[in-house]
Amino acid sequence: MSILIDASTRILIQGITGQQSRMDTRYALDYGARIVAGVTPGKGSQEVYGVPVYNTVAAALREHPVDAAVIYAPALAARDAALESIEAGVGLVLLLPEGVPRHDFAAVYAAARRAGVRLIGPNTNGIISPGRSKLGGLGGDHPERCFLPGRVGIMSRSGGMAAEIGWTLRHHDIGVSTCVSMGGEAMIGSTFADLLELFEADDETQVVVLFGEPGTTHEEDAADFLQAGRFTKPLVAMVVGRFVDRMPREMSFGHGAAMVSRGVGSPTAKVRRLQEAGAIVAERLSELPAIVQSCLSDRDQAVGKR
Amino acid sequence: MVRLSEDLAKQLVELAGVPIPRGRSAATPGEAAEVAAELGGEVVVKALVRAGRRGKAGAVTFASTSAEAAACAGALLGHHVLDLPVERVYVEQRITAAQELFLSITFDPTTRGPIALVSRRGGVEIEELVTASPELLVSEPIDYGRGLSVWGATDLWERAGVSGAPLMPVARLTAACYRAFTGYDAALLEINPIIVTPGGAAVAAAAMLDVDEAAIGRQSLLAGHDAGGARSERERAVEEANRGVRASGSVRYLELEGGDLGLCVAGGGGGLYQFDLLLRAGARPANYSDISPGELGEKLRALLRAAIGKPGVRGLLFSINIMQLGQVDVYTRALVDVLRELRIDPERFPIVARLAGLREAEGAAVLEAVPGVRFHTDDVTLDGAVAEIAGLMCDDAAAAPALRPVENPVAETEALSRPHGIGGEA
Repeated sequence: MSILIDASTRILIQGITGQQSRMDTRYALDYGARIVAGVTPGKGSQEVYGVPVYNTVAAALREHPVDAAVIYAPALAARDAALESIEAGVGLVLLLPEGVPRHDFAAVYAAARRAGVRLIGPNTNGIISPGRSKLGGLGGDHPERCFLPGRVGIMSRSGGMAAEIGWTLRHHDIGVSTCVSMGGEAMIGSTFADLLELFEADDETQVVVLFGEPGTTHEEDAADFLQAGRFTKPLVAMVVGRFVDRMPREMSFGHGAAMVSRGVGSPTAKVRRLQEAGAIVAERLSELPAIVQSCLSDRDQAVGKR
Repeated sequence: MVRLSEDLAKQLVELAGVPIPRGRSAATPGEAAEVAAELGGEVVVKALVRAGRRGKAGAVTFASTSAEAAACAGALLGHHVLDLPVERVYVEQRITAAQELFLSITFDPTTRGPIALVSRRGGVEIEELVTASPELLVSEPIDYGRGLSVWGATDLWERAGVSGAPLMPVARLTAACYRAFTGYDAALLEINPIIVTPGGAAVAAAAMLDVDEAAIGRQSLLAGHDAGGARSERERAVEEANRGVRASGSVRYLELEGGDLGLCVAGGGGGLYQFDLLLRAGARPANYSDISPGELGEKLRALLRAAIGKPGVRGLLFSINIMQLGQVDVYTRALVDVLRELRIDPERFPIVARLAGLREAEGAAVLEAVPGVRFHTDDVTLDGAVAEIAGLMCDDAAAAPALRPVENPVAETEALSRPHGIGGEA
C-alpha cells in the first residue's frame, strides 16, 4: 500500500510544457509514474515525451481517467488551475508553486473541501511512493538515491528536508512507504493530522517520521491527534528552528509559515507537546535511523513476526 | 505581510464602502493646524506608525482647536512611538461615541479560511477585557465560497450582544470590511474601534490593514508601496535582486546583529536545522538566509555577496539539502564569481560548501580556480558540514584580533572591515 498514490495512480500534469515541468515529467516517467496527459492552454495537440497535451483539464479527462493533478503554474495563476481540476473531478490535487496568495489558497481549499478533493501544498516539492510513483520533483533525476521502498512514512513541512530524511534512512537500508512534502506555508491543504489519519489506515506504514518547523499549530494538532488515540503507530518527530525562541523580535524564517509571534508556534513548545503525546523526538538527522529501526523492530515483535 | 499606514488603510476601506471619519495626514505642526481648521470641531491627532496599540502608547491625542492640533502634532513628530520614528501624523474628525466595538478579520490556519472576531467592548482595553472575560470576543469562521454577507454579519453582532438601531449600520460596515479584506488581499483587517454614534451611525474610527506580500504584485493601488522597516543596504540589495532578476527561484537574506559566520543555506527546514546546530556548536551566524530552487542567476550572487560582505564576517557556510534537480556547478560558479569580486582568499576565510545534486563533478572542477574551499557533496551530512565550519571558525578565533588585547581600537575596526584575507590582519 502507501498513502495518496500508488503504482496505479493516473497523473495529469497542468502546465506540462514549461521547463521545470518537462524535466520533472521526464524523471517521473523514467521512475514509472503513470503520467497519462498534460494541460497547457494553447498547446493542445502537442506532446511532451509522448504524453499528449490538451488545452483544458476537461478535454484531457474526456480522453483519460485521471486520479491526480500536479500543478505547475506561476503563483498568481495557481488558483485557477486548481479550481479547474477540482471542478473536473480530479480526486488529488498537488499545488507546487510557492507564494500563492492566502486568498487564492482559501478559495481553492473551500472548493476542494466541498468537492471531497484532497489537496497537498502549496509550496510542495511533491510526493513519492518509492518503487511505485511520484508527483512533482521530489526524488529528482534518480530517486533511488534518496528513497528505498519500505515501511516508514515521512511527512515534512520542508521539501528539502523530506529528501534529506529519505536519504538518511536509505543509507541505513531503511525504506519509505510514502514521503509527503506538505508545503511550507501557514495554510496547507493537508496537515500532519490529516496525513496521520491516512498513515494510520495504511497497513504498509509501520512508523511515521514528522519534520516540523516554527510557527502555526500543525505540530500541536498532531500531538492532539495522538492524544485522542487516532494514531497508534510510533511517531518520530524532528522539530527545527529552536533558536527562534531565543530571538528578540518577531521574525519570519524559512517558509511563510515559520514565523513565531508572542510564543505561538514555538518549536520548544511543539517538542514538549509531541513528547507528552508519546512521540519520540530526534534532535539530529544522525539519530533518526537508530530510532526508526528500533521502532520498526518493536512493531515487528508486537505483531509476532520473526 | 505589508502593513499599511492608517491613512492609506482608511482610503482603501472607504473605497470598499466602509464609512470613515474625514481626515488627512500632515507632516508638520503647521499642516496639522490647517487640516484641523478644514475639518472644524474636535479632532484626533494620531502618530502614523505601522504598529498596533498606539492608544496605550500615547500616540493618539485629541485637540479642540487648530493651535492645539499643532501642539499635539509637534509632540509626536520627530519623536518615537513604540520604537518607530514618527514622520507624519493623521488628523481626523473626532466622532462622539455612544459605543465602541471591535472587529478583526483574518485567516485561521486551523480552518484554513477567514475568521471574523468581534466584540461589543472595543477600544484600547480590548486585550485586557477579553483576557478577563473571554465571552466578550465572539468569532465566526467564514466559508470562503460564501463570504460574509450583511445578514451573516447581523447574526454575528447579535450574538456578540449588539441590538437595536446600531445593528444594521454595524453589519453593513462589517460586510464592507469583508469586501475590503478579500479585495485587497488582506492578511488582516482590524477596526478598533468601530464607533457607534449617538445617532446610531457606524464609523470605522481606526483601520489596520496588513496585505499579503504574496499578492502585492496584483494590487495596483499599492504598486511601489514601500514595505517599510529598517533594512540594511545588503538586505535591500538582495530584495532588489530577488524582485528584479528574471529567473525562477528566490533568495532571502536576513541580517543579524554581530556574528562572524556568513550563511548561504536553503531548504527552509534545512536552513533552520543547521542554524540550530551552529548555535549549539558555539558558532556565531551573521545572517539567516533561504534559497528556493530555480534558475536563480544573479539572485544567488546577490545573496552570497551580502552574506560574505557583511562587516565582521570571517567565514561562510554554503550548505544545502540534497538538491534533487539543482545543478551544483551553477552554485559553485556563483561562489567563485563572488569570491573574486570581493577578493576573498578561502585559505584565510574558511568556506565549507556542501552541495549535492546534479553535475557534482563539474561543480568541483569550477572550484579549482579558488583553492581552499572545503567542498562536499553527499559524502557529509548537514550535521557534518556544520561541525566542520564551526571547528574552523573556532580555530581562527584563537588568532582573531578580538581576542588579543586591543591596543588600537580604531585600527582594529578598520582591519575588520577590509576585505578579508588580503592585506591587514586576518
